[in-house]
Amino acid sequence: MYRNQYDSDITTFSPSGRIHQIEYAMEAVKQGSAAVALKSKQYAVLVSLKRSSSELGSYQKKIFVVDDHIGIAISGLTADARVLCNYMRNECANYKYVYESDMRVERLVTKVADKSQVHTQRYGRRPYGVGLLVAGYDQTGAHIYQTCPSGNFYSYKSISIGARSQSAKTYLEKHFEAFEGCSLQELIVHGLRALRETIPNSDTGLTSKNVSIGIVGHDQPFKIIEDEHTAPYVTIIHPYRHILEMIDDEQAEPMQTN
Amino acid sequence: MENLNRGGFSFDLCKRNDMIAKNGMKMPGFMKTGTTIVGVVYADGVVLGADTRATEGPIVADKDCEKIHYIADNIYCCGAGTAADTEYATALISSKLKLHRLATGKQVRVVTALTMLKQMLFKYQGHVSAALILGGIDITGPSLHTIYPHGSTDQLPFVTMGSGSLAAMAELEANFKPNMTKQEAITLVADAIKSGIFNDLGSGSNVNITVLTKEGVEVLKGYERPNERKYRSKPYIFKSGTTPILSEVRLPPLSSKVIIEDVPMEV
Repeated sequence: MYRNQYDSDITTFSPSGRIHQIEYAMEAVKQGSAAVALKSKQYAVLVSLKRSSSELGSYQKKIFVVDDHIGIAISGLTADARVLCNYMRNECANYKYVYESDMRVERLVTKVADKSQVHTQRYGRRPYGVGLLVAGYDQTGAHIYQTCPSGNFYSYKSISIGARSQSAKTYLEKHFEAFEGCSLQELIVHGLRALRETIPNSDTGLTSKNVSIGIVGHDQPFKIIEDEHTAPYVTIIHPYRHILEMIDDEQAEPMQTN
Repeated sequence: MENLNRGGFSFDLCKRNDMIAKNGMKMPGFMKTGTTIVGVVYADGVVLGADTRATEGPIVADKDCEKIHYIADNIYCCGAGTAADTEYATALISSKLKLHRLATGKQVRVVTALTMLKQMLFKYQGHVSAALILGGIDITGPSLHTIYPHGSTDQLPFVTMGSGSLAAMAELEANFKPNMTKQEAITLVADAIKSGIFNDLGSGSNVNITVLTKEGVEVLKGYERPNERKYRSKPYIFKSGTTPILSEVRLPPLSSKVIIEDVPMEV
């Protein structure tokens, strides 16, 4: 009852001390498709599920390059994500021009968080409806950060956001202790396994069309692996996938009988 | 009061500087690079060369400065003129091109860098004293351009700029031929730079070379060092007894005559 009275304005607190508009903005993040981030000592990996509006349409890009050593995965309002991505790219380029060195990941994330916070306190502005998973590698090692529409940011060993992300989190909680010593290949496979948990059983599962991978590390500038290049990794977690596809094709053609 | 924030460069401070100079104040000098810079297109790409002397009037300010600047992975730029101007103009355009590359998702073209640089230099009406040789390789092939401080540009198969440009051009006009091999091109560029180093006072020290091809960039810093400094190897240490002792006086140590004590601070 009370919730509805105090939730129409970003500048209004509720009697229990909450700002409902911010919480509603966080709901928008939960509507986006899942993204998973995890890191080892030397590498940080982003894995995400791409959605398409229809069979005919292309899949929405989920992972973006910000700089040679930083990349992001998004979940929520795509347009808001584009704006934040451009902002981050500008900040990194400007920092490099002024200081002639790569911007530290925490610095960049703090700037994004500060920018997001402004939109929770000024009348007439709405919060950004997108959560970012920032993966980066700087002088202090590999980093994973999550940013929220509220203006908060968190550092993680591994995390998942978006639709049905709790299932992925359960997988990550079970296996995260092993991540520190994993190779890049193993890390990607763990990410894909965690991502697979977020797909309802009725769906097609992970394919090279709906999976996007981002990698960065001490000897690896941020790179996005998409489309056919994800095939080797997807096959690892679905070793019988190509056989299943063959069976599907045969069943699609009804047998001709006279 | 109308808002004069219409954009464009404001020349008010330039007028003020001219007025001050006319009233007799000595304007501070700036570091010019003097310089011989050279670029040559060969069969598979572009070779850029530069000397390494930076001058402040008649004084050599830097004996080994870097005049070949990074613009993008496939584009490099030699700069002559005021050192700070070339440094920051190239760094600014490099930054803008990074964002451009992220936004378009494609490799940067040389003509894009060219357009950004010339538009910036024209905007400042020649006050940014940067004379540049822009060389790079992109999807359309290797290309070489000159950019003058006022913003005009040329595209040529071989170019020279800077105070040593005449000496270097003489070398290139005599020996350039199209479709050279990589080693021929590097030798030609090195000879042109050396011609500038030895015959122009504003150029000197070493030859720096950068080679740009489809496969990537090869930076040959200090490709030739025809002016190696020979530092004094004999140290200024003399044998004990070289100076004769005429008389000796033994003094008591200071601590026997002076007491050192801590004074507590008074609040």
